[in-house]
Amino acid sequence: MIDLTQTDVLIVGGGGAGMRAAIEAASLGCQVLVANKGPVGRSGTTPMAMEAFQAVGFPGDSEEIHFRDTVEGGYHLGDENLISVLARDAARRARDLEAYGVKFKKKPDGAFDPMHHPGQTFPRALFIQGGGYGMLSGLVREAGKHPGIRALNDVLVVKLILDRKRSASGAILLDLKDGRVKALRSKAVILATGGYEELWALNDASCTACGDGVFLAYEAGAELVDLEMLQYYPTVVIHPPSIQGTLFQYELITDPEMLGGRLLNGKKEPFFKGKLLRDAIVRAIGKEVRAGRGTPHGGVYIDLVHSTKSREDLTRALEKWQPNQFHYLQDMGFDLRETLVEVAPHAHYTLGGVAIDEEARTTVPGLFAAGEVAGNLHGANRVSGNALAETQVFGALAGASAAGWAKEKNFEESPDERDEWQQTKALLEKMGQNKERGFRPFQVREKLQRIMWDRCGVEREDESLARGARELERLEKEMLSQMTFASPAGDDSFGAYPREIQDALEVRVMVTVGKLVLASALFREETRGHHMRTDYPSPSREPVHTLVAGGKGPWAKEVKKKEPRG
Amino acid sequence: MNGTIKISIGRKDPFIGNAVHYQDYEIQTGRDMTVLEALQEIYLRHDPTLAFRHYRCGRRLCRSCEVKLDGKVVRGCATLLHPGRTYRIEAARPEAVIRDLVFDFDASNSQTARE
Repeated sequence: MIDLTQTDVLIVGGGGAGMRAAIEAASLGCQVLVANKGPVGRSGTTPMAMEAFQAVGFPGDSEEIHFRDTVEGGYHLGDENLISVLARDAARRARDLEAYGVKFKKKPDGAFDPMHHPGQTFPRALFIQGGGYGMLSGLVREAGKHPGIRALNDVLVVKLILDRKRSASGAILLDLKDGRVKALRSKAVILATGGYEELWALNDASCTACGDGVFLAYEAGAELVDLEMLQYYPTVVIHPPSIQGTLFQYELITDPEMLGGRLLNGKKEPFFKGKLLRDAIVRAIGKEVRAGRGTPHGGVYIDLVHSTKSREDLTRALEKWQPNQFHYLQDMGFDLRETLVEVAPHAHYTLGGVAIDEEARTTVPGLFAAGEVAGNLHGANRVSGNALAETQVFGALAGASAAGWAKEKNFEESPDERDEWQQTKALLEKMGQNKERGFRPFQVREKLQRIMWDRCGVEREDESLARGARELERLEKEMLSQMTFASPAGDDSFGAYPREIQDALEVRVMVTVGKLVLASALFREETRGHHMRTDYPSPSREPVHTLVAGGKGPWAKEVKKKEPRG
Repeated sequence: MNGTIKISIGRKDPFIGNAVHYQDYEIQTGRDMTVLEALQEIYLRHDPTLAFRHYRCGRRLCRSCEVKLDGKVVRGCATLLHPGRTYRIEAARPEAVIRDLVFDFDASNSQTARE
């Protein structure tokens, strides 16, 4: 029998954007269900986020300057209607967080004490104590005060349901707690699933960031935008393996007023000057490595050993600005005051994703999206601090929009509901039957991650992208279709916590998203921000979006301007 | 240096019963590994049925990877295992086990519900 739960608003993903959306929709009177792949507050990419929340809080700064910095920092590829909403609401959403008990670094007089990160005309990176984890903990506590919010932990949403009018009206999921396939019926759906960094072999994001939301939206027919735009973070630990993937912020390391350190090439020489944006540092590192001046594992060094600060001052500064990383690395045997650490660019934030408007609506009625899953806010680079701000600004908007939409609707049984439920069960049963000589999901995943890194990595060009696309086609035909998994299956269940089935469903998502990324990367014949084409080394005259939807595309679409161009 | 980490893991599948049984694994390695790395190695190369939470927040904050190591609750991402030694790993909250080392964070328990 079909196991069905009803709710006004279904939110897929319980990170910063999802929880903020839940609070907003619940305070507008909706019943809200948050479906999350892990335990809410302890999973996804938000707990991994650094401390910066970009909002105006410095004398002389303004929303207009925040807007301009973001437009320019994204190389004019971000939609300006969205950026102006971000700049307009960011400070208000920071004050909401304070009301939820989230702590910001303050001056003795109670004013915000923002950091000055590259790409900001004025210091604008408000410092959240405990970073993304601290922010999310506050949101989870606040959500707990709303009886209308229920978190559904450890579930994997496999498919969205559309009703007779083709608007989003629920989902099919696999409940990892009992291994059963279930249905959810809702009046509105919000995607808040984060990004798809896990497609690349080197990334510093959550292992669950497989592009679930992008996949669900694509299958539902929504427009996806600029999928080729991936932000690399320049200074992520590449060696040793026990701490690989740990991010250390170059913005703080190289700031003489903060940590007073440097980045050095493999010959232990400095290789750039000034405050550079992330894509520029990534390019500078690439140049050193290509010239044979990289570290043994193909990166550069973080150097705090020769900090301009005294050891006491450096210790105090580390405790103040990067306490979690400092102590974590210390526990793992690396004292940053005494050793150089090898770092290299890793996939960090997916700039592309689901296309939204200024009310967080996708192109599918009843389907909303907020946070990293959305694709047309930042453009070709993201300025430090705009990610956490994005989760709060667009999370709140998505919650309000979904609540408004749900009020006008009744629950409706979709003709697709039972079919999709049965098809999902059949899909899993079929995968489970490829017992002989099948591929384990992690083998397919590792192969895909290698293809994406080698063919669609930091530097890209036509031939290699096309080759990557062919390799993914072959992987889909020869490996994905032959995938098998260990399943302790019961009668109507795929067993408790079936990790390998989760892996299988994730890699299926990753193959689809990977193909769309490669097609989009081929289509963008220019270098802009983090999309670096060696065969097209300059930006084209006018920035345009790359669109895909419903098996069509890519095609070009104008970037939205705030005002008509004169 | 002996290049083997030996681990005995307390396993339980509620679909089969409530008894915990211990299964032994050996990882050939010349280096220290975190608990999380070792579990991932077992899952990838030795036993696809092992259940544990493999998420890592990268900052030693989220506690999703907590397990009992030789009777003491530790964070799997930030605790090193050394070659030549033998360890016992069990679920951090045995009363709330979903399977093997994965427990249900929704199950209320005042003893471990601390921040």
